[in-house]
Amino acid sequence: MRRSNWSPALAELKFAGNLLIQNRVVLGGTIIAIGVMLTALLGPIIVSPTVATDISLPARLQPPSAAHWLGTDDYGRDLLQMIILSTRLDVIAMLEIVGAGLAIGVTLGAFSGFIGGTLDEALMRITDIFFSIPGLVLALAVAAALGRGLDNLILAIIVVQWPGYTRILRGQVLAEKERLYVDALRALGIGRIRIIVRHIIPNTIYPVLVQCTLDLGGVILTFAGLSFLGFGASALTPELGRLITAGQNYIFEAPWLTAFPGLTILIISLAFNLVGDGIRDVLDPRLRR
Amino acid sequence: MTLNSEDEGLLQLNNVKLDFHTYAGEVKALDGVTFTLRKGEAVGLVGESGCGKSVTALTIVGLLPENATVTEGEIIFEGKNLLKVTHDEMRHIRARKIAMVFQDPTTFLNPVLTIGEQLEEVFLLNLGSNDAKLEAENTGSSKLSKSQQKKVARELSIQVLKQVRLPDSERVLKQYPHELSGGMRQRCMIAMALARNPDLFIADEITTALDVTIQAQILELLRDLKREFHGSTLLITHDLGVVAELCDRVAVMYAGNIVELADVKELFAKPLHPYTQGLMRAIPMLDKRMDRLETISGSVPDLIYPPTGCRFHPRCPFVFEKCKLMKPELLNAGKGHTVACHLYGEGKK
Amino acid sequence: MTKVLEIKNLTKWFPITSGLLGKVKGYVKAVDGVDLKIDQGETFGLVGESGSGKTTVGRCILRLIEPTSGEIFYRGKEISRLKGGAFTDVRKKFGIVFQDPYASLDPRQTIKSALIEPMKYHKIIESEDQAVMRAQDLIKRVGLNEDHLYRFPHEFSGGQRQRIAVARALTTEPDLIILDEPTSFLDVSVQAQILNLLSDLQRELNLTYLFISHNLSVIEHMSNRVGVMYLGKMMEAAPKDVVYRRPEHPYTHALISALPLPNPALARERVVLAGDIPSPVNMPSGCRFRTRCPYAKDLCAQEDPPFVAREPDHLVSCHFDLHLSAPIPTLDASTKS
Repeated sequence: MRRSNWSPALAELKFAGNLLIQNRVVLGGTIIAIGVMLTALLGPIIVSPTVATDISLPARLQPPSAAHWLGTDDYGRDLLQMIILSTRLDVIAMLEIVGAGLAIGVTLGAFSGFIGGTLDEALMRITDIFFSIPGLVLALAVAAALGRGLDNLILAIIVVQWPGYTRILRGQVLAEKERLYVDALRALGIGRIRIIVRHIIPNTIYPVLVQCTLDLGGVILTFAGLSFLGFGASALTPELGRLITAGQNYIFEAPWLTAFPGLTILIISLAFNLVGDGIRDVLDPRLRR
Repeated sequence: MTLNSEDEGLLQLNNVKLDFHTYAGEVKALDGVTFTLRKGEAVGLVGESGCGKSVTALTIVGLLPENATVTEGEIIFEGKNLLKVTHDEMRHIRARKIAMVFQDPTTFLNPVLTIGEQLEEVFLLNLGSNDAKLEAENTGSSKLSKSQQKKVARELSIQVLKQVRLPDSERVLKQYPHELSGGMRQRCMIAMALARNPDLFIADEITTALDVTIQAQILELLRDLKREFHGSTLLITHDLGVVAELCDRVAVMYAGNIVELADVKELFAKPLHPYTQGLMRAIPMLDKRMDRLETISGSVPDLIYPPTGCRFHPRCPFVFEKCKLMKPELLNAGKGHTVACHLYGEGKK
Repeated sequence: MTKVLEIKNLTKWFPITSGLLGKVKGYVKAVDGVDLKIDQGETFGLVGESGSGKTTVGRCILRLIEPTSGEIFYRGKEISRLKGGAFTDVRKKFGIVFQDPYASLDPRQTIKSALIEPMKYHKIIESEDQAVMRAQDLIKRVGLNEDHLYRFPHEFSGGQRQRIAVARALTTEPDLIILDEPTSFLDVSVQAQILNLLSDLQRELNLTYLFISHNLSVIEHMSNRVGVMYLGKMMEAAPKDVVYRRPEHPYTHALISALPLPNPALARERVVLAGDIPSPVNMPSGCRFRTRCPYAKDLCAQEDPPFVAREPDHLVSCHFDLHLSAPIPTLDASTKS
């Protein structure tokens, strides 16, 4: 008899991968997303970070040309190089935010869902409070409270992200803990913590991972948006939102200053949204076991 | 198998082969199923899971899933080949001639309609047919009015519920399926099947999900109904005890083939096929004390890559060369007992 | 004979709540006063239909569900109120095999990991190599091969998964194994293999079994003593032959009589009980079986009969001495070796 030798996780990944390739639009998004990640990774190598502080006033506000493909900004810096550098910062921020939100959400959701009782009730009411405030507004409020600075902004958005993951995971855990193998483990005397960490979480994390990929596009939008408003990075730091802030003063004379960074944010956000959509379409029906 | 006019075949399956197309490959679920069901008899189709007994029933009534294809054979019912009739004809046959009852009444009964509504629906469908009893009630006019039809349907519903020994049948008509117990739902399903007065009644594992004492009630009911019901019954089950109680003849299936077919007493007294023998020895029986149960070595084959020749040969204690090369046909072993095994072939008895 | 397990007056009542504040409306009395004892090396068959509470008894012993009241003694020591670490020690002495072989294993865990986990968690074996060796030994004992250790549950058939479940139950070196309908989901031929395996292991390792099932033929084959449960209470408990050939409780009698035997020569008039099994929420007053009992009298509606011994090792819960006939008459006549 033939038997497959793959672990369930590997088999699912392969299946997902296959289906991702089949949808053209999703494939396009995936390619762009990979391109973005590569840019973020290789940014400081292609473009010297000193470009950010390399101010050259005679060269300022020049339109796109052979020397500067996307023109120069108000400090005379080459816009294309600035955008490449900025991508790195934005992408890292996006990953940090979603990653931290995931870690907090999974931990809280798993323990709360499994143990139940008053702890669970309390946590659910707390997440309810967070849900009652619109995300952007909440992020704004927290960022304002924490003060300026890149790390503070990242922290503020993490605060908005974690409740969603907690709820999703908790829902999955509530169902999973009724499964027979959990009874078998308890009967063997295996402790709750081990059951949660080694068994429950690996079996329930997929829907949350899907949600994470869907959130990437939105998170980067929020981050760049709040940066644009003045939170987060300081004026000279290469960051897409800040570039637009600077550019808005010259919107008629040098429209490329707002257009190109804005377009970049759009492309990055769209690409990750498409990847997230594709993954969700592929994995979700199979996840509702 | 030829039929003579005395034991008329109501249903005849000839070499029916069926494949399922799956992601993993072609599952050759039925490998040439052949048997005849005579008028008025009850035949049991037994086998373990995956042997194809339910698939056979679904093929007869045409309720196969989309990925199934009948690759060969014919199913002759009242002169027509059921595999070649149109959709409408098949629907008509399912409505009037063949009734099928399943294991799980909850999936079969509509949860939002009362029992009465569901039963009446069946009768109303049939009131257009040539029912002599209705003609008699019908005083001259060729068609009953809607309200008259409803009245007749209701009366017939109460009658058929009484037939299946449901106490308080008037009250049951107003109840929803979830308000009834498992045994009662099963009786309602049987009632709905009998309401059509079918020529063929197919029951697929109808007692498997019931408790022992409730199962006893249903078996008793089926035994009584057998006396009253003049049609034929095809009883599908994995429980040899149920077969011993209710059937006239038994067909044993393994991996998509019928491996043995005989009168019920004959089969239990003298099982011929090594699989049947193994099966009987594997069941713990109250009248024989066994220290260890005899087992059939190996396990059920993968039907995507079935064994060559006889599909049972990898597990057979009596296997020899011919078994691996040639699939055995159903051979006559006397007294209406047929068996598909080379042990009983020419020169090997 | 050492008593491995003894249960006295075990109850498990599930409260039914309604309304916003969760007011208790009533109780589902799943287990309503069960007595039971099992000696070393024997198999006690616990039989009953749906709603009988037999599965709940098994779960209460392992504290997968907390009993409402009653006492459970393991080798003389009361264990139903032990907490935390003390109970974990007792848990190691119990094993369980569940009904559903497809759900009782974590689908993402290799068999090797599933077998080693309890050993290392309880520090029974600390070295990885030794644990693997023990896992290899166990997997072979249950009839599979060593390379099966590196596969995942979905790669196995139902019968094979039950073998793995048995192997896992043995990892903590238990005394008493609770078998909760271990073969109900399996085909007849596979069932035979698993039952043989269980018998062999019992002999080799001097195990004690609590075998829970609704299948009367299997119970008869496997058990030394049998207890019959109905709606949360034990109706009769006695050695197997007594239960199957001369039961004294009318429910036992009807249950055995109802069994369809795979032998047309044994066809007989059977006792068919009228009506359905009552709901455990709305238990009949007095004796809970009286609504379906052909011999019920007024006393039965007023008083719940106590579970007492009519003769040594034959306990019955019935007011009357009914002198019932053999449920399967032809069985008595046939010879049993």
